[in-house]
Amino acid sequence: MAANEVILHTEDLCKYFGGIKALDHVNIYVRKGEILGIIGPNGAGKTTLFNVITGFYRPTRGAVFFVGKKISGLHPAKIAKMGIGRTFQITRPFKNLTVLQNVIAACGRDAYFGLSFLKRYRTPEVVEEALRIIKDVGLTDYVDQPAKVLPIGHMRRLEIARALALKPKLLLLDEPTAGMSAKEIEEISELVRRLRDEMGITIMLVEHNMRVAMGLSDRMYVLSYGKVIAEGTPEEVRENPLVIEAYLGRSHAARS
Amino acid sequence: MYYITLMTITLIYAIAVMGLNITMGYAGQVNLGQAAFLGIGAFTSAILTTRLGLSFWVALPLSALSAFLVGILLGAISIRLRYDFLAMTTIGFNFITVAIFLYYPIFGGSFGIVGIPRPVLFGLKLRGPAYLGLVAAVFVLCVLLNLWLERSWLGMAFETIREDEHAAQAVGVDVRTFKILAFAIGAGMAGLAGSLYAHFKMCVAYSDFMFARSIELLSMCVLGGLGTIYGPVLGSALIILLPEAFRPLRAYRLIMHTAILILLIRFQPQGLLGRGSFLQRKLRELLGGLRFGSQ
Repeated sequence: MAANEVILHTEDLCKYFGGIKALDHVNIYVRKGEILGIIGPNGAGKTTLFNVITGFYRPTRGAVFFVGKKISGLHPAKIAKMGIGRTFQITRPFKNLTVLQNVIAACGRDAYFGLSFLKRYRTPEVVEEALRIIKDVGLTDYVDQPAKVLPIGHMRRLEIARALALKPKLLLLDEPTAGMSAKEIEEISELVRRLRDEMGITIMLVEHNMRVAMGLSDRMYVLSYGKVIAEGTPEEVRENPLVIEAYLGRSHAARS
Repeated sequence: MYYITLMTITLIYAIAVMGLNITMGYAGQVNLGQAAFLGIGAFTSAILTTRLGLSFWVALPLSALSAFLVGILLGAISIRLRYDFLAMTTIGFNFITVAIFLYYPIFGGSFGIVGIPRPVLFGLKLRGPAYLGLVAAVFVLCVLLNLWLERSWLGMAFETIREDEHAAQAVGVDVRTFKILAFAIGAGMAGLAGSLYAHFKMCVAYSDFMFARSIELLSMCVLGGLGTIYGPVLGSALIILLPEAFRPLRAYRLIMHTAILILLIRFQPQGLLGRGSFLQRKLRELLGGLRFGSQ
C-alpha cells in the first residue's frame, strides 16, 4: 500500500561526540506522505539526527536508508540532490544574494554535478520555477531584496523555498517556528500543512513548540539523551509517562 | 613609450588580480599567495621558451595550465581550512614556492632566467604598442571569462560557498570540488599574467614573486571591489598609476598602500566599486539601469 510505504529509515544509528552519545541506537522510519514530529528536551539529539540524515555528520555506527538506498556516508550535496531538503535551526540564507538568487541557487541541483556547471543559470525556465516557489511561500514582494534584510519569519520561508527548489521527496524542518510571533507561527504551520497536502512532500519536523508539534504531526518520536523513548500519535505521546518524565522529571510523572 | 609601459604593466597586474578576485571575491577563499602563481606562470614560460626553445604561443597556455594544476594542489590542501588558517597556509605556500625558485638550478637561482624572447607574430617581434595589444587581447579574454563565470552555475556555486558553506551543501553544491576549482581558476589567470610578465620584462627572478607582491595584488583587489568585474582593473590602475603621478612621494609608497587599505576597510570594506559602495551607488544613479559588478 502506497500510504504505508517507508521513505526513510535508520538502522541502529549512533553518533558519539567523544563520550557523549548524541544518538544511541536510533531505529526510526518515515512513511511516505506523513508529517513526522521529532520532539525531545534540549540536547536530546534531534538536530544531530537531522545532521546525520543529511550527511553533515557521519554516523559512528549504523546506517540511514532513503527509498531503500543507503545514504549514510554520502556527501551532503549528493544527499540533497537525491531529494532530501532541509532548513537550519539558525537560519542560513545566502545573505548577500537576493531572494530570487537564493532560490535559483538550489535549482542547480543537477547542474553542480558533471560539467553542466558551465551553463548559464539565468534561463527563463529556471527563473520561472524559482518565482513560482517564491510565490508558494509568499515572498513575492521581496524577490529582488538581498536576503539579509528579511525579518526572521521571512528568512525561514526563504529557507523553505530554497529546500523546495531541490524538488525534495523528504523535507527536514529544524524548528521552523523558533523565535516567531504567534501570527507567524500560524502562517508557517499553514505552509507546512500545504507542502504535504498539495505538493505531497513528506516532512520531518523538529519542533520545540509543543502545541505546533502536536498540531502538525501525524506521528511522533520522542528523543531523550540520544534514545527514542516513545513513538506514536500525538495523543499517545502526550499520555506516555516516559515522555512526561523526560520533560518534567520523575516526581511530576509519578504525581500525574 | 613610458605610458605604454605603464599601461602594459597595469593590464598584466589586472589579469592576476582578476584571478585573485575569482578565488576571493566570488568564492570567498582567502588567498595571500597569488604572487606564487604569477611566478609559476612566469617561470614556466621562461623555461619553456629559453631552455626548450618552444614558441611563446605554446608557452602561454602551458603557463596557465601549470599554475592551474598547482592551484588544484593548493585548493586540495586548503579544503578544510577557513579564514586565518587558510590565510596562513596560502602565505606559507608563497614562501615555499619562492624558496623552490631560489634553490632549484632550473629556475636560475638568485639571478633568475634572462634572455626570455619577445613573442613573434607573423615574423614580427611584439614590443611596445604591439605587446600592449597582445596583453590587452588576453585581458579582454579574461574579462569575457569572468562575465561568463558570473552567469554560470559555476559562479553561482562559488557565491553560495562564499555566503555559507553549510547552506551551499544543503542546496547540492559539492563544496570540496568548487573550492578547488576556485583556487585553480584564479591561479590559472595568474599563470597567464605571469607568462605575459616574463616576456615583457624578458627576465624573471624569484624576488619578483615574494609575499610583498601578493599583498600588492591583494590591495589592488580589495581597493577595486571584491566580487566585481570592474574592480580588479580599477584597483590595479590606481595602485600602479598613483605612485607614478606622485613621484616625489615615492619613498612613502608603502605607507600610502597601508593607509589606503586601512581607510578602505574602515569606510568602504566592499572596495571602491563593490556592492553598495559609494562610487557604485553614484554611478548607478548617473547611468540609470546599468548594473555595475555582480548582482
